[in-house]
Amino acid sequence: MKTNVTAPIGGHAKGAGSDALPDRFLHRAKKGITREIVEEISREKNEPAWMREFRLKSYEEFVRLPVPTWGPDLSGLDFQALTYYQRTEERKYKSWDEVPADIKDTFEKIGVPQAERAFLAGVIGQYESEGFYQKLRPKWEEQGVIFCDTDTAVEKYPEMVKKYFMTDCIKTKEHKLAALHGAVWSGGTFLYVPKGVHIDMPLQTYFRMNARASGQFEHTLIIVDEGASVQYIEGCTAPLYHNSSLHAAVVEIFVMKGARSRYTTIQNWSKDVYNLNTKRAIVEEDGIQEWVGGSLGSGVTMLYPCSILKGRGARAEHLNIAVAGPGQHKDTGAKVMHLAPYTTSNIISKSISFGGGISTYRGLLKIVKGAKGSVSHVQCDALMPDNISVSNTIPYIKVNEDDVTLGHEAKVGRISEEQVFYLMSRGLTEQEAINLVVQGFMEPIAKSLPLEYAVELNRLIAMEMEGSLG
Amino acid sequence: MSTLTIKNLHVSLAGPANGGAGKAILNGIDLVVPKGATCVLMGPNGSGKSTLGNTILAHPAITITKGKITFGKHVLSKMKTDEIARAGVLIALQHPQAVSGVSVTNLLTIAMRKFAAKQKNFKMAHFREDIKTTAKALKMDSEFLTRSINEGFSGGEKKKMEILQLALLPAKCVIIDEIDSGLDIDALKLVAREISKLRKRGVSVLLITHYNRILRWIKADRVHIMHKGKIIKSGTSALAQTIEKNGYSSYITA
Repeated sequence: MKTNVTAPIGGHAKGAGSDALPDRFLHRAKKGITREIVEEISREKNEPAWMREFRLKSYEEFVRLPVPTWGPDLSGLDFQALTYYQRTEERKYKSWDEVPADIKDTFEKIGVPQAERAFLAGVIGQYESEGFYQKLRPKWEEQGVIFCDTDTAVEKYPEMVKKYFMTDCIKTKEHKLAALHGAVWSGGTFLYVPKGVHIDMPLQTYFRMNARASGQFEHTLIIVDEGASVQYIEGCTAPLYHNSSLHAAVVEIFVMKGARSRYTTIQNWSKDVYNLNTKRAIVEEDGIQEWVGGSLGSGVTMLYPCSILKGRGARAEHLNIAVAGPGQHKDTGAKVMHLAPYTTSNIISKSISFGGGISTYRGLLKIVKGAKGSVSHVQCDALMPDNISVSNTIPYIKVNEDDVTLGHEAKVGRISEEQVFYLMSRGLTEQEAINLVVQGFMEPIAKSLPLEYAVELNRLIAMEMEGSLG
Repeated sequence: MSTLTIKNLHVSLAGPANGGAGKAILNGIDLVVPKGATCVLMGPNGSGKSTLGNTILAHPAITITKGKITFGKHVLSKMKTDEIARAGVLIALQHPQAVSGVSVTNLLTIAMRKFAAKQKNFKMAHFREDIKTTAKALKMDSEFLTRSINEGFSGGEKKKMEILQLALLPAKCVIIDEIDSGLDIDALKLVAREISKLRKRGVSVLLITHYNRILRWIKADRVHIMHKGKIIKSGTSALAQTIEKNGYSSYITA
């Protein structure tokens, strides 16, 4: 057992489950999902009527819609065996010192306070279903930046939430998991950057799922107003249990005219987690959306960040690395819709499959009639150090405009005996040599991460792969 | 510094995937590279020269069926490639591999951290400066220090990259495999100058080559001719000149 409990930064290699905490819930909903449970969640949160109505409508969609069957096998996922809501803390803390010792411990192990001090503009911590700690540097608060958990936003900024929450970007009727999310969502991040404000340090949220057989459904809503820019990072982790848990997050990003947004996530869930997310950005004229993702851990992952290039000259950059080890299935990719002229997308997807792991790149690229002068490039690189693992590439491309430039490249690489010999002949051990080849493979992703994350990503992948090769 | 000693060495290449018997390549090699000496190994194509170099570094495709290789107190024939390297026996490969996303600076700093564990007063900042200085001496553009190693490099650039690494890591004995092929005369001079610097530091050298050309700048203590996996003739540097003039045939048919 290894690697399952660490989180994106500063984590320690701990035995799986060893830092799991005893249950300490103030409120925990009954198992399963019913109309009553959805109502109970809303009541627990003291939500306004409009949000309760929204949840109930979503629940109806959830009941109506079938489980998706076009991707990995989800038949092991029993929606009635999960707990959908649990709250541990009565209030939110603004000072790290106030946070209760056991929760503080968990987050200190993954390096939260150090990171906040060192290089972050703001931090939110979420434990189970609710955010418990949030802080934004005063400099940004003064400029009108809003950075809080999404429940707080419902209470404090209802007009904005009503306007953007699962309305234009991701709709609950799209698929069963989006509908489920709409019904039971809790926590997540609300970020608003006013016109022309450039936040030059990243903002970060840490999510920690600690209880077994539970679901985590955080909702992240980011609005980057005209000409503004921001970099937001999410890190996710959970200890190892043997009951399947579900992480079904939704991320909605609005990139206004001339704005720039970078959303980075490193997910390292334990291997019994179904990690099924829906993430999408709508990019207006001359806006830029960048997605940087590292997907480690979890059993089944389905993740295809989507960019809707709505305004002329809008641009999307997708960079993703997926690591699939024994018993893991990574179904990841990117979706880009070019809806306006002179829009650009650049997709780099890298995967490492080892020890029988399966990784699939699933892409959708659509260029509509009239989106003339659009450019798209897709590059899929797979690294497979053995003969028992699987790598698939399923790019789906639909183009209805003639005046476009398209490129698609797919490569499968192996770690050759000669390469390992070469590096060993410089004094590196076999494991170090393999790790270095893997690191080199991921270099394009690592160099777009803040240094601390790049180092941690390399370390996590090395730990995942250790002992699985050779 | 120590002496490299090869005694009655027999090796075969790994057989077919089913584990069948491999092909015998070396058939009883006896060779000594005394400490600080420079020995040249010559011979026609396919005589087993590169296999000998790779065997010393424990290449995974090669099996030693008989005999022994030692370097001072180290029994190289029982060690792994990385242990041999860390014992100070390094190789400049004839066909070095490309590693995407890994620069020579990356590789050298990682490697040096392993060597430096044994060294006193080691300073990584100084080492990084040394990398730049040595690259300059080899007239290598600084971009080669940050690009993916050997990826898209010309033959000559790869050779310089190999010598750069040998010059910077704490070598005691170096095996240099056909460094002269693919190098123009100017590059060859620069490479020979780095090899001479190694000699001056007391490093022993086993130089594998087809041609006499490089010996214009490097003084050889011994020259050995190899054919069909055996040393068939040994002599002084004069032997290399005779071969340059008459070819290998007189020795091979003899």
